[in-house]
Amino acid sequence: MRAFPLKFKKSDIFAALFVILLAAAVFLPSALKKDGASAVVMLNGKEIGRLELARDAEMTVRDEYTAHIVVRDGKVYVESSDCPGGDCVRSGGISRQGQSIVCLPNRMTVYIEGSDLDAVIG
Amino acid sequence: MENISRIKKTALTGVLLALMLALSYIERFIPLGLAVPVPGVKLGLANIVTVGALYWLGSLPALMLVLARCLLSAVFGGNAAGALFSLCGGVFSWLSMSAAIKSRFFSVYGISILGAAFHNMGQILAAVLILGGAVVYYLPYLLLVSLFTGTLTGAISAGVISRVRL
Repeated sequence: MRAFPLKFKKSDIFAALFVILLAAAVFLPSALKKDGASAVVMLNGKEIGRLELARDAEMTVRDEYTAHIVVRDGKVYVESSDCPGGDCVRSGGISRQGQSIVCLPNRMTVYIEGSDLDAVIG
Repeated sequence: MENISRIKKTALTGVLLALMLALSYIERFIPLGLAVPVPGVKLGLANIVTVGALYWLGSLPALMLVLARCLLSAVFGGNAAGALFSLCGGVFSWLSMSAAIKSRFFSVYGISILGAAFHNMGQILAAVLILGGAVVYYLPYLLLVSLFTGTLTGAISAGVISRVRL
């Protein structure tokens, strides 16, 4: 059984500092993430949505056809769509800058917009 | 306070448990959320009792109190997810405070601040498991708030412990 001092000690400042540092450490990665890779969803040439690849998300596009776009594990793919042909669904998952999924009947495109890293040639 | 008799300790434990439950109930009526727009932010008055338990009864009895309080809160409140949050928060908090006390480095204020901070971290951990990673967004704000709530509960603990004669 231990007693501890009941009056403020100078060393308590370290506790406060520790907590502040911890808060900063948790805050930083999400503040920097703004430059992270994201999937841009375009309909008729206009951007209608933007999903960050870092976070699992879902989005439903309802135009001439309904498409279900899903972000999971850093990849974006069209989970389902009722468009004729279904090329978009069969495209699979994309995650790298420059890659894209296109649905012609729906005039919809999903492409990856860059992070702060360099482009890869080839 | 090394010479508290066994009977007194037992009685004290019971009283402290009731006090913890009462405090966490009352706490719900203090809308800290108006001043600080973060979900789940609270004063953490129950930590006052945990600190008292650590001072008068020691590490293990304090842990028993925390666990008992979580269990009973869950039974009274009927909220399963809330119980997990309480549990994680409480255990993390107890761990940090026990360690802080053992280190002999901090006063009640440092101990309370660490207790409050780790309580929040434990709760966020539980929230991540149940609600997903996005919740981590709130952690920095909760941690900063815990500096204030920790200081406050530390002051109250100091005031109570220094005045109660066992």
